Amino acid sequence: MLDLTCQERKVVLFLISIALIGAGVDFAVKMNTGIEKVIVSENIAKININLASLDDLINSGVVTQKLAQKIIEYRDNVGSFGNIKELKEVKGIGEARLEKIEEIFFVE
Amino acid sequence: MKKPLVCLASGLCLGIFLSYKLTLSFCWVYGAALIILTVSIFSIKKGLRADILLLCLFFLFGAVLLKDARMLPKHHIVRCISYKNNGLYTIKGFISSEPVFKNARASFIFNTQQIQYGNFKQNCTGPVLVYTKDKRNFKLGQDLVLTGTMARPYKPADSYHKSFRGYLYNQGIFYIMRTRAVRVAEISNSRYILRRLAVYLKSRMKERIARYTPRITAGILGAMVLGERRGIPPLINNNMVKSGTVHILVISGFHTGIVAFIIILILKLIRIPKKARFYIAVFLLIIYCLLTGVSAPVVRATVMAIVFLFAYLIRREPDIYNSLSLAAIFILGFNPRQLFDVGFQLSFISVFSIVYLYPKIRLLLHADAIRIKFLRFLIDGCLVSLSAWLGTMGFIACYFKIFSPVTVLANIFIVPIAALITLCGFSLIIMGFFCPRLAPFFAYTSELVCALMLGINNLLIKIPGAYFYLP
Repeated sequence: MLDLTCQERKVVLFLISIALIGAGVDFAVKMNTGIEKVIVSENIAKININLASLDDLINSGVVTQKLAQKIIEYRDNVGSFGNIKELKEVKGIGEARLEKIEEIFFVE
Repeated sequence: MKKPLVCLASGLCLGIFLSYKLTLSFCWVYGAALIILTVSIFSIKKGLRADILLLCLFFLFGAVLLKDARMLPKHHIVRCISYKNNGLYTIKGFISSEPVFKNARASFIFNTQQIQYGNFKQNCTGPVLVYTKDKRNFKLGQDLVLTGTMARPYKPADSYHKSFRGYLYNQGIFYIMRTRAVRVAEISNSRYILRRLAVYLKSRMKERIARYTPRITAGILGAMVLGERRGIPPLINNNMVKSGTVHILVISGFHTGIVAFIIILILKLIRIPKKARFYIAVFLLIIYCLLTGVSAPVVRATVMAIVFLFAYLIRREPDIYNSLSLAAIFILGFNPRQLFDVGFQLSFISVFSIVYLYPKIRLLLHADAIRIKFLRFLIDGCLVSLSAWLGTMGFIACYFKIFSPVTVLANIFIVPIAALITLCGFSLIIMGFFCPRLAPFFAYTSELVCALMLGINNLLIKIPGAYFYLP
């Protein structure tokens, strides 16, 4: 009746299913604002610096081994970081370095 | 010879490789190529002898290509810069790559036409990489006069090929300029028309993706649909490297296949004749290739797609080995230095190992005997991943110093999800242009699938022994 080939039918079905799933998520988000954060939160691409190990810090590529050790020492001596700007208290971290660190780490 | 192009491409690669290793002068290699050419012409009808001569000719042609590419013209910019003069240079020319804006600076490749040092001015050629903190909105093809310092790219003492210098040398770039002053001349309208069209389309598509999706999802979609990898957060990139699935963030044959499929389907729906469909599809595939940055995997995939489309047009069965070899000859013909590029090597070796190893492993394990369709599909996916991993394992260990046994398992889960993300990304762009009301639904689905992929990837790399860093 519609004169569609099998391939064309598959494409239409695919598009409809994507739109339906999206509509479902849209509905869930509207009903419960908490879900919005669950989908892809900004923190999924970052490491919590208060929980990061020495290896995490070194492998991030934004701090040297020496600086990573200083961050761990600061965390052990002073306590957890309250916000990301507090990292400037660690000797060797300036504004430029902090910008790079902010791309990889967050504070919670 | 059932796969003539495979032998010829191998000869060409070998010629380039040996020419890189041996210090023979251009004249010797060129003379030998001319002699072989003459003999080949006279023995054109002599079967095996003619084939061997043709192979030798391709071998020598490869050597000639690299020698020629390494020889710089008299007025090349490298010859105009002296290491003793570390003051300010002024260069005139035009932007020949899409400018990248990151970390409060712009970077682009700049084709030079004239250079000035002090009062000494001369015409020159050749590209330089430019870094500038100028806030202007630079455009591809724009004419500029730049003043700044010239330096060679950074190279660590222990390695050449893995260094930034090696990477830039393979692209024919020998110097980096950090600007102090920038003067805009004019925008040339006749330069890079196709590429400017591609850049324009890319920016419109990027804008559509960014409008409907949050930053991380937009970054992933941008990489998987438009080849724009800069939007991917470093941590996500590192995690994908650890699980050996970073290849899904690069445009490959799969993406080109989807684009070709979408184009042909739309053209078919509006009843365009077969021949016209072919030409329009080829043109749009070339635009897509330009749009995604003309990297080795994209060019390979585009050439292969065009060969397949052509085979479909003339009703011939395409041979995957021959089309793969044609793509290699095409890329190396343009730039023989690409043979030493990691992207080129990984792209070709992965496709080759899938095409070569997968049917053999499948036969060995009697995968055909499995009755349950879903299980057979799962095992097929596993075998494709295994074949690609076996082929690329050595290269990855050598270049990236990482060995990831979790790769095979990760690919079984991640690759189908990545395929879904790519399809969602394309659908989102199309809907964003033609039906904005429905676009948010597609965006939500894309986001959901991205979250699923990242979640699975994070879970897999936490398995003990999932990956090892090599010394």
